[in-house]
Amino acid sequence: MIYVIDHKDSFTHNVVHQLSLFDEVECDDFSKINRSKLKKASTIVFSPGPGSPKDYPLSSKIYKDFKGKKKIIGICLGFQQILFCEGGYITEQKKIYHGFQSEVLVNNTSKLFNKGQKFKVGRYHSLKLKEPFEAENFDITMRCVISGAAMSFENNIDKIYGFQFHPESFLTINGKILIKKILSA
Amino acid sequence: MNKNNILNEISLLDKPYVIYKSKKGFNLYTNFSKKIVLTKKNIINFLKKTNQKQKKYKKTDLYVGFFGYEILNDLIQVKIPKQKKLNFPKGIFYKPETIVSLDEKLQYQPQKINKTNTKFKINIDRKNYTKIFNKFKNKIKKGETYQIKICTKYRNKSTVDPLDYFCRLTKTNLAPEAFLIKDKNYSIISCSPETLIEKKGNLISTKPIAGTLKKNKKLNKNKALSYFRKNIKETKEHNMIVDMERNDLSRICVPGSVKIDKEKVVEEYKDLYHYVSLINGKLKDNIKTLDIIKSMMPGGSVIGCPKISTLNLLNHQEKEERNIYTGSFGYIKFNGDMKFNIIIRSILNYKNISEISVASGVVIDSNAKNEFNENYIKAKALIDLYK
Repeated sequence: MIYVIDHKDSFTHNVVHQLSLFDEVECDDFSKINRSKLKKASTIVFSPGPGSPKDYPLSSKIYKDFKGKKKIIGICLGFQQILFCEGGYITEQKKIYHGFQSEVLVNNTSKLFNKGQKFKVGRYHSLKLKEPFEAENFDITMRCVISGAAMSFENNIDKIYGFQFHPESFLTINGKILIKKILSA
Repeated sequence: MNKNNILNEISLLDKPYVIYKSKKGFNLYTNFSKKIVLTKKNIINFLKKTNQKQKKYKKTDLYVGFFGYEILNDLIQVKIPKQKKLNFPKGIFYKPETIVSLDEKLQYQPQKINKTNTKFKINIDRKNYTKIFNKFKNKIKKGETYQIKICTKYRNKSTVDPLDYFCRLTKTNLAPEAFLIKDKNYSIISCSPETLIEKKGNLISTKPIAGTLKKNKKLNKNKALSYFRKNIKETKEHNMIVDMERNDLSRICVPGSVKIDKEKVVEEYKDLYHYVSLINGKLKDNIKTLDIIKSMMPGGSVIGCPKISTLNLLNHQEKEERNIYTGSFGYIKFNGDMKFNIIIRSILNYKNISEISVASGVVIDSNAKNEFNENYIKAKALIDLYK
């Protein structure tokens, strides 16, 4: 079972539907988390949402409790949430992308996707990861073709994955394949 | 009632009625056997009445009416701090005993009334609007919202003949979701273009509008489409709404069934072009009317995104209640089928005060002056009726 932690976003149920194609999915508001569902889940997903990771200490705690014990996936805010917990700084970016389709490029650190592969993806984010960023076993595996901003990470040791973009958006071409790859990793 | 003369007759009878745009013309609903004024307490029970299973349904087995903005916030547990109030009901539904279909060209001879209309006044001037605008732009930079629609109101003191106003409005702007409610102590005159929910059996669809272009002689449908496609700001706003509506449908639909039927197409109306998408899905088995209303309302395209955090920001900013504005008008049949619009481009006349609310979106690359002016353009067609 996949447990989606909803940060009150207007895209969370798109994520739920996309994940439902592969497994049973449960979804609850981040402030009403059910511990027994959390324990039962094989994968925890941190949803997109408004604001910044420091606004969601409950989600940070869940991440720290379950890191290395279950597969963890973060999307948009969820992506930032995980990196924030790993000591990363999340900052405002000069150019803001909301409802924007752009291209991302896979680099040679990815174990799941082929180096040089490009994807067209939908983006909704005001904030981004400040770099340089370093954390043990974490690699930034995709970047925006134009700005170079971090768009995806992989931690294949602890099975932690994240996308800054929205694989569930209609603006993302082949989003289903992206999700399938990290779910089967 | 004589069909040709029906509007003249009904205006003399002094009984409440509703007129709502249908595919071919209009439907007139009247002879109401029940009037339900919605409150926080009775709304759940009211909605339960529309999940009946009976063998046969009459054409009149439905409720027609509206949900105001506040009661829709109540339903999804979003709080509204203290605001200046008109004390207008939060929502009203009627049970009609008569439905008459009318031609698209409404025939009506207005009665003569003495016009004592005062000039419209706006509640937020440009200076204050710019201040609010910049505040929300900052919130966008921080990621608290991605798009937010600030409401401004135009108000005057007036006595209106609502049927006359409605007929004149439909002549200049035959909007697909136009409606009129005429009751003893209030009226609503609307040329809403936007369908929020159409539900038949287990199929549901929504048709958000994001992007409006005023017609001129040089434009045609193709040129309008290329204008929208090239306009990155309009495209991004539209994309956001499409993903948000997909999300709201996904709450209540079978996984994998939510599809974009028409993606970013242009629809042509009398004086403008709209950039619209059509999204549909198949409802899950156990979904009730209440689930549908809570999931889809208030309609996202007139609020902003993400819905909950944006509603909270709006409610803390706006000092006057929205009343009907960005609520929904439509009907629910006893079998649960329904059609609802989003209440925009509407006049509420209550206690001899006419109120016209408009909103336009703040996104990262919008500009306060343009949005302030766009608000006026949206209100103008309605304000012109008072001349």
